[in-house]
Amino acid sequence: MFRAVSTPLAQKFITGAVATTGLGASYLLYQDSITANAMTAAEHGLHPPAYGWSHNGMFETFDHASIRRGFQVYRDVCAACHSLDRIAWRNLVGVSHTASEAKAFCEELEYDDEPDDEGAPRKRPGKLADYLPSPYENEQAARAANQGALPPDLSLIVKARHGACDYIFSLLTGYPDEPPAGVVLPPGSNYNPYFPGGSIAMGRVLFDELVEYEDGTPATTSQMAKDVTTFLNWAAEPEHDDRKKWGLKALIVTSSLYLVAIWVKRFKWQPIKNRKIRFDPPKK
Amino acid sequence: MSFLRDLIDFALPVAYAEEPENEDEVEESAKVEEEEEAEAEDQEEAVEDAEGDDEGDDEDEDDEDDEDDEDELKDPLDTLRDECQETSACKPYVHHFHECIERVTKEMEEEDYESKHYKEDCVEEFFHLQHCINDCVAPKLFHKLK
Repeated sequence: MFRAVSTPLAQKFITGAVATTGLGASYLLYQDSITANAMTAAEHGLHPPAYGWSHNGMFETFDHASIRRGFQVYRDVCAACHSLDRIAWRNLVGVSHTASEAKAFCEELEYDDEPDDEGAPRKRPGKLADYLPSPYENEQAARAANQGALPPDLSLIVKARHGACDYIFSLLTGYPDEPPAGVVLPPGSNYNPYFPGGSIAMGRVLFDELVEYEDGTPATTSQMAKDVTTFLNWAAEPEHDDRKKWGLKALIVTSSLYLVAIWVKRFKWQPIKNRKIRFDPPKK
Repeated sequence: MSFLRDLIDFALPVAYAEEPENEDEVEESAKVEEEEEAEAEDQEEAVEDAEGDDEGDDEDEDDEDDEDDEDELKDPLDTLRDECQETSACKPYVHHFHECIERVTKEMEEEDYESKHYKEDCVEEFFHLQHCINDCVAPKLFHKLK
């Protein structure tokens, strides 16, 4: 066999066959790549622009009036499908609501109490220490109620998405009137350019004047989206305001300590740096 | 930077004498937009008529009724988006997007569309347009919201 390959004719034949296969395969791959639907812009989703959030700066805190309005939007709109597992009623106290307001919210609800003497389950009105209720008992119930789509828990959603606040705001306000021509959506889904892939199970939920703000702010779609995004950012980063305050304190303390350190160093080194070494050669 | 701005704001006396004027300007520009929108809608109607869309007419009439209502709440985001579509920076994208819609709609009407290997969509054109509009809207929007 080895002898057969080594003849010049066979060598040419093999080289030719390898070249044809390689070129043919490259051509087919190239043809496929022209119409392939991979790594498209739609797959990654539209990048949200950077909005001027009032809490963006290094020393800026949350707009707490906005958090309060955002909680109202969450409670009236989002809470129908989305849970907020990691926030308890007590967390609202001193942030967006007073203790009595938060108590009034939770006392409207029923939570599981300890069973009575016969072991029968009991219910009790909510306390400040209770967590916000979930709209569904479990994941299966949530999927069953939403055509198989699971509404994500919103506690950490701002941290959990690229683009954070900008993404949430853009997603909520970004539903176009109709999808761009030629887009085929699976049944039961909606088009949103910011959602990677474009087809999202959640429909547009925010419409002008959907809620009535108690402080009289005009409830436009973008206003509600901004407020609820601020609220969700607070829910994801409740330590935000304190963190920035501590950051400022740390900056002040460390920079003054730095200046003191420089002064001390110069003070200690001054005599050493200023001393003069003189060499008097011994006289013969 | 905003910390510095706050410091400067704090140090310098600031008078907000211009605010009512600004609102007037906004209202005026809103009126101008409404006129422009009305024109745009006329054009849309014409397009929709050409496509043989029966429902379009009813919707457009409703929209016009809404605009006649002066008390109607208008989302500043929608206003800004409409404004930004008209800027010279975004006009080409609007043009390309509409051209694409026309092309794709025409393609969809062809008989063998279902069996076609490659079906074009207008997502890319839409993204380019939205990108341009977003860049124009984003710096202004949050000054209009509370």
